[in-house]
Amino acid sequence: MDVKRDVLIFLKKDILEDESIRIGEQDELLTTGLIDSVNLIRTVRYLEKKFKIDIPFEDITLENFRSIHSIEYYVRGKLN
Amino acid sequence: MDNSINILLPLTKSQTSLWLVDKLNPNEPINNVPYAFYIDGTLEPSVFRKAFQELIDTTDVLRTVIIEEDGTPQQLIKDVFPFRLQYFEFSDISSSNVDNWLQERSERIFDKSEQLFDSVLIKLSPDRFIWYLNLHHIITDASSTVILFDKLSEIYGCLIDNTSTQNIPSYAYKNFIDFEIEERIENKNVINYWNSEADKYIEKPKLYGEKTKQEPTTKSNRVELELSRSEFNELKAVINQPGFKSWNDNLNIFNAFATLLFSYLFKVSGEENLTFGAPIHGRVRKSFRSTIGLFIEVFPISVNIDENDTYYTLYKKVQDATNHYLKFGITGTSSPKLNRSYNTIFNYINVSFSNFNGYNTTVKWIHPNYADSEHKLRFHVFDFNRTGVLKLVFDFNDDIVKSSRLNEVPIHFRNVYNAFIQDVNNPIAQTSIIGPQEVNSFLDLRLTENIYPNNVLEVFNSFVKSRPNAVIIQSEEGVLTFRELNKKANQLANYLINTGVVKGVNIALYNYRNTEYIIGLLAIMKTGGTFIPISSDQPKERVEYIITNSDCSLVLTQGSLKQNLERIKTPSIDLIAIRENLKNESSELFENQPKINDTAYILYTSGSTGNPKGVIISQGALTNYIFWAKNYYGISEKTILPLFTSIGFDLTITSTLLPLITGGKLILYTEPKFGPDMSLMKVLGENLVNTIKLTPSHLSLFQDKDMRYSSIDKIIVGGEDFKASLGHAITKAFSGAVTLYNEYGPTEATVGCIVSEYNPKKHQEGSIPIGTPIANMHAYILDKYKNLVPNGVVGELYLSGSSLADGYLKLEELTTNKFIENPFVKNAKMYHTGDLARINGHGEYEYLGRVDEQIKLRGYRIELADIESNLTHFKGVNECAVVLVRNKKEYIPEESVINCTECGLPSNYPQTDFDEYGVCNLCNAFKGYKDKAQKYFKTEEELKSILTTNTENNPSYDCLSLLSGGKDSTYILAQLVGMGLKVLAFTLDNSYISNQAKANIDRIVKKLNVDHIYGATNHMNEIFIDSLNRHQNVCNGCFKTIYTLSTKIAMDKQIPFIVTGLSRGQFFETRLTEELFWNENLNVKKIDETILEVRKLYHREDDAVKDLLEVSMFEDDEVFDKVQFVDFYRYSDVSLEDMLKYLEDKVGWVRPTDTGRSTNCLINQLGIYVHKKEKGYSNYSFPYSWDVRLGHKTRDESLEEINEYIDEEEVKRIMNEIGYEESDPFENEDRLVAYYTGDNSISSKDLKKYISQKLPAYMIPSRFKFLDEMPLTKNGKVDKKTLQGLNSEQLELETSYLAPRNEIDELIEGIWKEVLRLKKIGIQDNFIALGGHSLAAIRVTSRINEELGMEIPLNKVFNLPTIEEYSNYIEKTMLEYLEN
Repeated sequence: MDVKRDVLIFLKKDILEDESIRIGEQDELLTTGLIDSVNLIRTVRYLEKKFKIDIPFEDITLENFRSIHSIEYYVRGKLN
Repeated sequence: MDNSINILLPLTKSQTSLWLVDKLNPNEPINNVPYAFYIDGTLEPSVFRKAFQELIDTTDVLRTVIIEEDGTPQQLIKDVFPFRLQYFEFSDISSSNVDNWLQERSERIFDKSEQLFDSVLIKLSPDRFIWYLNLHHIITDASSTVILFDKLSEIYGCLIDNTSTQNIPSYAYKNFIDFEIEERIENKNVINYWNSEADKYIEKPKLYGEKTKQEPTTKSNRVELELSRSEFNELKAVINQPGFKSWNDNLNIFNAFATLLFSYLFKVSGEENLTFGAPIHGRVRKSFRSTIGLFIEVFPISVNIDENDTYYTLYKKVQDATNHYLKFGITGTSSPKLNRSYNTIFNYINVSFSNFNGYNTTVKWIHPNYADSEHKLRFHVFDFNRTGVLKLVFDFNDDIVKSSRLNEVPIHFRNVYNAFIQDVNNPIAQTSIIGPQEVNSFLDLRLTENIYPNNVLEVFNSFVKSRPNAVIIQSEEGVLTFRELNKKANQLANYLINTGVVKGVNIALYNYRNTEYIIGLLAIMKTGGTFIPISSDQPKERVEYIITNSDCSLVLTQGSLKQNLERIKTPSIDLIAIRENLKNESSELFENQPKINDTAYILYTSGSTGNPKGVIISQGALTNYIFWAKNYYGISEKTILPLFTSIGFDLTITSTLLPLITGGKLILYTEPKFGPDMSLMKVLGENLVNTIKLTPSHLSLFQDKDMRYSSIDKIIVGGEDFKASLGHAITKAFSGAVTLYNEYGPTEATVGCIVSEYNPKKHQEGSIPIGTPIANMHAYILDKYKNLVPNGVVGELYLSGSSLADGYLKLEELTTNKFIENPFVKNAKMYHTGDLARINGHGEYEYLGRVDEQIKLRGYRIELADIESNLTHFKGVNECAVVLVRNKKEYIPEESVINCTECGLPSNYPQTDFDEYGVCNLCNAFKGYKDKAQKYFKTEEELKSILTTNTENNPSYDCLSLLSGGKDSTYILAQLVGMGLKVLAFTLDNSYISNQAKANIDRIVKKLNVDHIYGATNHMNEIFIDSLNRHQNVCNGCFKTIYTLSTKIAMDKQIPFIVTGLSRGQFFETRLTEELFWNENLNVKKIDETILEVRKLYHREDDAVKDLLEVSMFEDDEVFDKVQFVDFYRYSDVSLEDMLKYLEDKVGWVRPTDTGRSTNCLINQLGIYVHKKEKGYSNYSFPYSWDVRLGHKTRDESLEEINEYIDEEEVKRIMNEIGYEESDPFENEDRLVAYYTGDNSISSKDLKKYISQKLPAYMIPSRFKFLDEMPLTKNGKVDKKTLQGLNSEQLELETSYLAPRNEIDELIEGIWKEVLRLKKIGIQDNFIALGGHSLAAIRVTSRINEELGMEIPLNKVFNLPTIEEYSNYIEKTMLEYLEN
């Protein structure tokens, strides 16, 4: 299961519509405005569906969704 | 690039919502989004025009029009769209100023099939232009405007520079439409979620207390509030603190303003459950961010504010709610229904406009002055261009806030804003939001001490001197002049003084309304004593209590009333007995002139402890009221008033005392010692008075009378809510020659303290306002936290001023609680009325009912707690709750019933909705499964093959044909004979078949040469009565009798088929339900199986037929195999015309004329009569609507038959004949119902007997109902709403009410409520007793199975007939399933 890859593909394909864009693992997603609140929640819904996990609202924090890396870390934590 | 040719696409959900709003308001520019861009630069108009055309060429939404086919809108994107931009210099046009011109232009209505935008370029000066752009909302949103503006600027720049515009990107809106459809399909569950959410928001908060009107206006008024940079920074500082943070700054600001908006709504509505709609931008993909079109979709955000919430705790709630909103706010999942489920819109717009081609540009969004009437407030926060200055814009519907009051809105909001900034830990409840001007409106009237110098006695004495021989009292005993009355009063006073009465003692006046009463009252005043009136009809215990509680030193009474005083020690004087003695008393008296602080009287009113409480009224308070009344009502020596209401009623003070201080006349109407008091009728009949004071209940007694010759020209109404409709009817009865006053006031503020004069033109709806405070009185409307509320908002009414009572006798704690310090006026008290009120748009106070449960029933003020505490004294009763059950039959009055434009179903048929075309929900739903339903019907060939196979094995007959003698069954019989079958005809003789119908039957069977049997039972009357009680008709009972008797015969004679004559419409009444056709893959066989199951259950249902007829054959399933029912019209689709022709030619059937109706059964109309009376509509409305829907009747034919004349006299005769008792007409009135817990062996009779000794008759509950447990609200209070929601059938049930325990209970309750059309169901209530029958079982079971994805068999609902048992079964089944 490649969480990082799936999240990247989702961001690139379904939100940014640009597969050539480079997003670094540690790049800030939220504070830079790369994804806004609506798209953050779309990402959450995507993760819930894709990995069959439940992401409660209290988990949708800056810390957990700051970057691809933190998302991966969070999702892996949920999966275990 | 957008390379499309003309294409046709559906609308998105958001677009559909807007389209529907236009549809509902075709003549108002509700969806216009007009902008004016002020461009400071030397534009070249010809280039600008060219650029605009290029903008159109590259922007698909600008080339879009909306077309409609069969009422369905679609968007047509045109390939080419030539447009010539208008250009002119402003000096060319006649309009006085630019703003007016822009405003008028903005209000133009688009013809959506032609063009969805409007644009003009205006030259103001050589270097200042306005680009006016107005788009229909259906193709734009805030971001679109920015994209469009930038794009035009870029094109213009290229054209000026002569460079190519090829590289300017363009994205087609079409891509979004495709995306939206995909999302919609993928997220069906979210659509369902929002649909169920929409149902929860039915109660919309009344902003500024305004009720939603029947025909709301779309006019919208705008007011703005600007927040400076520093003010906005203060807000930012608050929300940048830890604990506030969201994922980004925009969301933070959104949440902050959402919190402020909720707090503001809470303040201006008084509601705690609040919802608003807010748009989600919908530009979820990068390309969408550059696409022009409508992307936003509005979704609701909902919170519940409680009294402990601070701004911070609310902010946290809002954060959660916003997360929820974002999570489910998925493109394409809203609906027009959701869109109309809230009345406030919150719009946070933070777009930035750049300069136009380098020229400085300012943007103005023009308000088109109209908005969707469903959205009473649109609140916009404009954060344009990130200037740091915010503009808050309030667009209020004109019904809610008129333009004259608009400037109060920013004051209210700013006060909330300031409280938030000041300290987020401020409790929201404590914030006072009104401005100084509104505060002053409450305090304008000055509370000067006693502007009336005289007291009652002094003025009375002056009339004794000036009009000694004028008649003051007139009664059956004769008349008294002022001098005579004064003399008698002086003599009695002297007598009293001689018996030891001194100033300041309490004396009870327990008497009838007669001369002695008036003399007694005057005499007590003259001795300086306090009078305590007790009316003659009070129960003994109450009389005893009042006299003892008030420490009366004496009781003035007469005759047999004394018997009620035998158990108390207080001395009494019989005023009749001492008449002779009084003659010896001196008629001169040295009077003690009362001081304003002396007590004038003590009046006992209903109390919450079980005992009445004495309200102490001072001379000053009495003086303030009575002299104000004299002036205000224009009472003079010409005024003649009747004394006809109870002397213990505070309203009566007006009639009693006014004549004494005006020199007019008082006519006494003494109540009878036994039996009902008909004094009012006497007053009207004698026609001697010109002014009258009474309650609305009394007044309503003569609304239908011709009062044109009445001498009454002034009516003062008080004591309870006075409806405008009654005012209207009375004015009409008097032909306008009467003045009506509405006087409001609790006993605690001396009779009346707020008053209005009824104005038929102004007061047309609802209740007549109570008006404005009287002299020397203040009336404050406060919220629960004692803040003055803004004008319009509902709050609790507090009273202050000279008319206030001194408090309650011997109830210091209660007095301190109710008469509190006045926070607005020093050294004054204010009385907490517990009444709800608001100030309407005309500045009048409106009364809106009681805060607690003190109620008015037929004019009497009753504290329910009074009854409750008395009942709880009964041994064995633990808890008790008394509720006032309002008239349950809230039927739409017959004249306002409408009928479905397609099927004719009346609007008072339960749970019927009509769409904007007047089509009912059944018709609309049927359209969805019409094709499937057709599959249920079959051909005549199939019928023939069913009936004719195997005929040689039938020992006697091939089938039994049910023959009622009507056209349908006659036709069937003839057809069956025509098929060559051996037929036995069967007719139930219910002893009400008309003679002609019987003759028809005899002739037919003879002509067709078939054997015929009349079935009968001597239990028919019992079956009729049972059917009337159970189903409110006679037909159900007859049908079941027919099926039972005929099945018995078929079994005995081994006949395999019974052929019925049910119409197709009747199938839907008795066999088929919508739920049967829900299944995607319709299986007719399965439906037949279900119907058979239902038939089994039907015959096993407990009713009179089962009890009284021989039904043992149905115990065994075998019977259903041996005798099958065949519905003839399932196979035949013969038209009425063909049928009648056939009948005439072949059978000689004639329509009976001796029933006076289209039936051949004489008792049938009794059923219709009862059904109409109990339910409001005919029992044929439903099956006939199906006949129409299925094309077997026209709507007109159906309506004609339904509305047939009913001979009421004949109906009553038959009722008498069969022994059916009509329901009590008083069942329709409001009544008191007492619920109690404890010992369930207590009988209602005992409770009633007990309570009758304690309380007056009007306080005795009409029903007592035992409960295992009291239902409680979340706050742990008795849930009286639930108790009020039980209907009379449920009250009759043996079981007691128990609320749902868990979600499964709630789910089942919800479904049962819908199917059985009840408001509340206890979990131990029996399905069958609630009116559940076999068809309802199909509906309930299908719905539960659908909801839970289970396969629960049909009979379970009968085997486990309570929600409790059913729910336990489901839980058990689910657990077993999970374990496996």
